[in-house]
Amino acid sequence: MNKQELLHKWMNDELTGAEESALREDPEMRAMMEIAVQTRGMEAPEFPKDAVWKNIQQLNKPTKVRTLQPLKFIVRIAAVFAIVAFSYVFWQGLDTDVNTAIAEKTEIILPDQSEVALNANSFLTYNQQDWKDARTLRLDGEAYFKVAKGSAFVVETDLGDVTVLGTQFNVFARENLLKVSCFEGVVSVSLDQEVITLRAGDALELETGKTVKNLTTSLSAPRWLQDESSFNNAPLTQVLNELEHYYNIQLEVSDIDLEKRFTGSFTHQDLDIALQSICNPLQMTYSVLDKNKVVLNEAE
Amino acid sequence: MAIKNSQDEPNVCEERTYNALYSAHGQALWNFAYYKCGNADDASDLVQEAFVKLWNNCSKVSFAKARSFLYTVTNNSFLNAVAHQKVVLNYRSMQSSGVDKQSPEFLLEEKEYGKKLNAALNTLTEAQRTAFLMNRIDGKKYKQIAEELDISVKAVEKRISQALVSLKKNLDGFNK
Repeated sequence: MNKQELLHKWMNDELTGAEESALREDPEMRAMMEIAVQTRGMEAPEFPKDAVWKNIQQLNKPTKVRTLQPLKFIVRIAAVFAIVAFSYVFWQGLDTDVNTAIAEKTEIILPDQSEVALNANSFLTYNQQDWKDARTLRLDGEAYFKVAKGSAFVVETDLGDVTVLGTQFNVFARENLLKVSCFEGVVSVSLDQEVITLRAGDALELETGKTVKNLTTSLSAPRWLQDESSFNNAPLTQVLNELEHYYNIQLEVSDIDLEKRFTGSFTHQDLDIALQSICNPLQMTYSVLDKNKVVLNEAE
Repeated sequence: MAIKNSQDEPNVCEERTYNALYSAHGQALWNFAYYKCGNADDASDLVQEAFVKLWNNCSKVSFAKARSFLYTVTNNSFLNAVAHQKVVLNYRSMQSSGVDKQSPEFLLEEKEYGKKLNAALNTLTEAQRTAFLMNRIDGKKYKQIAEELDISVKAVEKRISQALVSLKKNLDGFNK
């Protein structure tokens, strides 16, 4: 066995003491053995075992913890639900608006089961969430109310608030005209200056700048619920305005006295019949042009 | 208590096995990486990369092959990425602690020798140094080194012989 081989054996701790002593006889071998011994005394810097392990685990995570993926998915779904729920709550906090177009009527059940019939071309707004605390709604147009018993039920209009406790009544609030008819129970109407109480069968009419007219009604429900508008000694302007709520028409009245008084009613279902109902008693003629244009004239 | 079949090879994909591999080979692999690149941070990166690759390929690497897989990956990554730096090793004297050897002169001489030896190690090729230090510092037999470097035992012998000749030449005249 040559000395190189013996040296390698020695490096692998496979040499006996005697063989090692023999090998040391050679000065070259001895020098290399000395270097090898000294090198054994060297050491590498400290291995940051825990830090490296932490990093490895961090790096392995995405594939290691597969269950994270479905969790993420669930979180996403939950987020969507949260947004929907939030929007719902937010939406609930907003006012509920009900609009009717010309010739359109609708019925609304309020949160307390009170019923509202909303006439054509009208606007009603209330807050669904606050309804428990305050039964208040705002009306621009005409509506009939069947109020469930409970706390004060208030209809706000431009000209005044109508307050009731549990009754059936009609409120007409268009432009500068307010008409309230009470069909059952008691209704209180608060105007700027006074508070008027209406009992079943009472009605009132108020035009901006004019005095309140006390009227009576013999009806059990407003006529418009039967698709009719009725007037008692009303100026023609009012009648024609009303007509425009039920028929999508443009009225042209060149040589007609709009202060003419009209007593009677017209239907909401047929324009011709309605026009006849208005024109015949007042000695007027009418002609329907295209594009829903209606021209009224004094009869010859 | 579950009866274990000793014939069953541990599965590298099992966390317990994976952890055990790190405990068993982490230190030596890090040293190996350090002998090559001479930078502790790079060595840590190499070890991390090797273990992460082992985890990603755990189903393809058998437990028996895991060790050589780690060394091969580390070596490849080193060749690909890491800039070579000087290896800095701590030197602690291997001399028996006789009273006469503790004189200031002797200690100074030891320190000088350590520096010189370290410098000489850095003149070796990366292949020579790695094989030599794996044997000297980590106390690995040639056979084990050959497995880890994926070379023959003869090649290990050659590298270590070359290392010793080169070191002797560099340290000549340093009377130790």
